[in-house]
Amino acid sequence: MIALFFTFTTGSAALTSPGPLIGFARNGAWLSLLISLAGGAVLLACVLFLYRKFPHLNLIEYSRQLLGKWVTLILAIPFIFVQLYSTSGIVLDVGLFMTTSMMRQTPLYIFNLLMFFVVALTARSGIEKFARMFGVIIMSVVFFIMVIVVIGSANYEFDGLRPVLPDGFKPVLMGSYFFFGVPITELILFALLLPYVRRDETRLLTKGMFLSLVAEHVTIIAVTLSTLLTFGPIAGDRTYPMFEVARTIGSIQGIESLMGYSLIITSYMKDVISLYILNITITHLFRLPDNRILIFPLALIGFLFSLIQISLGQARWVSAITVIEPLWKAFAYVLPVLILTAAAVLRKNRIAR
Amino acid sequence: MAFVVTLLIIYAAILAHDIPKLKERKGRTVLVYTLLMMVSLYQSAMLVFDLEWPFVHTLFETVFGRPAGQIKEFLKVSS
Repeated sequence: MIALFFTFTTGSAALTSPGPLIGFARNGAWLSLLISLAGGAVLLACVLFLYRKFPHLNLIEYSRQLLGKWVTLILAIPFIFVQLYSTSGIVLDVGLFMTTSMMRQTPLYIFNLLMFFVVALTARSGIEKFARMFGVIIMSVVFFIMVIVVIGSANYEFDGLRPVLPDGFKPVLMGSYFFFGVPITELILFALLLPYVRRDETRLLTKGMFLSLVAEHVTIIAVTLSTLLTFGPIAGDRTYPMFEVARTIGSIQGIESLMGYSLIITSYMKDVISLYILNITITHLFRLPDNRILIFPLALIGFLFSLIQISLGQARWVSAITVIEPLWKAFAYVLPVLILTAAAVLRKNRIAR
Repeated sequence: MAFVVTLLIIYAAILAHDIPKLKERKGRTVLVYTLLMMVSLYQSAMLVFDLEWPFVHTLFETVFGRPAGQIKEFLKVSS
């Protein structure tokens, strides 16, 4: 579960988030990451508190116990919508990467369709199968990122990091708003997977998940600093920063393909987990006996939604994910978890009295 | 045209795979499955006929677009 958590939080975020993050926070991007780490730790503490209270139930099930079925249904609707939005957005990012960087003549829907097909098949195979597979793959990705960071250091210009806060603290807060809002709030989705934790792993879970969150931030700080040191003031304009950092390395030809592979494989893994969680959210919400039957229709909806999003224009989509999505996720993910934590604490106090 | 054919193949493949399983289930499972397929048909119509019908993103932009824009403006540095 810890490896799965690291895969999900680090995943594609390490390769796609630094671009917009630097765009907002500029040289203070690493400070934004530290602020979001503090926020992420609070959210994770809430999720683990609820897990300790209800070790055999997932978020939907204990929400039903704490708040009742109608309030759960009301909270679940935006929760499902955001999950659908994220699931399609992750694949859309890969499709756009392929059509803008590698295969410009191929229609976008081909990439999105193939990706969703593989994602749906993997999600259908079950959590035990993909959890075992992803641990090894994410380690290879972190290794490749570190290789690029180290080899790329030949091109680093340390002046790129100064001045740290030329425009005050507001850009740093904007960076935190984006980074905390987009990839970090998603850790709440693990409240739906924690009941699958093996009994022998439960003891290590809290420490492991916090360490994983720190490791994720360390990886992203390394990527962000590498991008800033390589590109300086224009680092924020890079859509796929590590891919472009790898391109600047002249000593090894074609090394950027490692980052291309990493971007695709991390997005694939993250999307498998997203689709799986979306499926179990709906399955548990409606108390369905079969937890696989909805995977293909959900993958189809995700595929079509990815095309609808991009049909409105790439600029509008980028603005939606960087500016509107953090607020939406705060409402749909963070608010229910805070309400549930408060309800669990109040119930505990009432029982104690 | 290629996209429409692709969509038809996808629907045929999904239904061929899932209908035998749905026959073993009843009630709520069939209802939720049908509802999801209807959502996908709505989306397909939007894409095939290039319609600007509302969907999740419309709700998302309508409800959160303005406050999110205000947050961005508040945190923006005037240069």
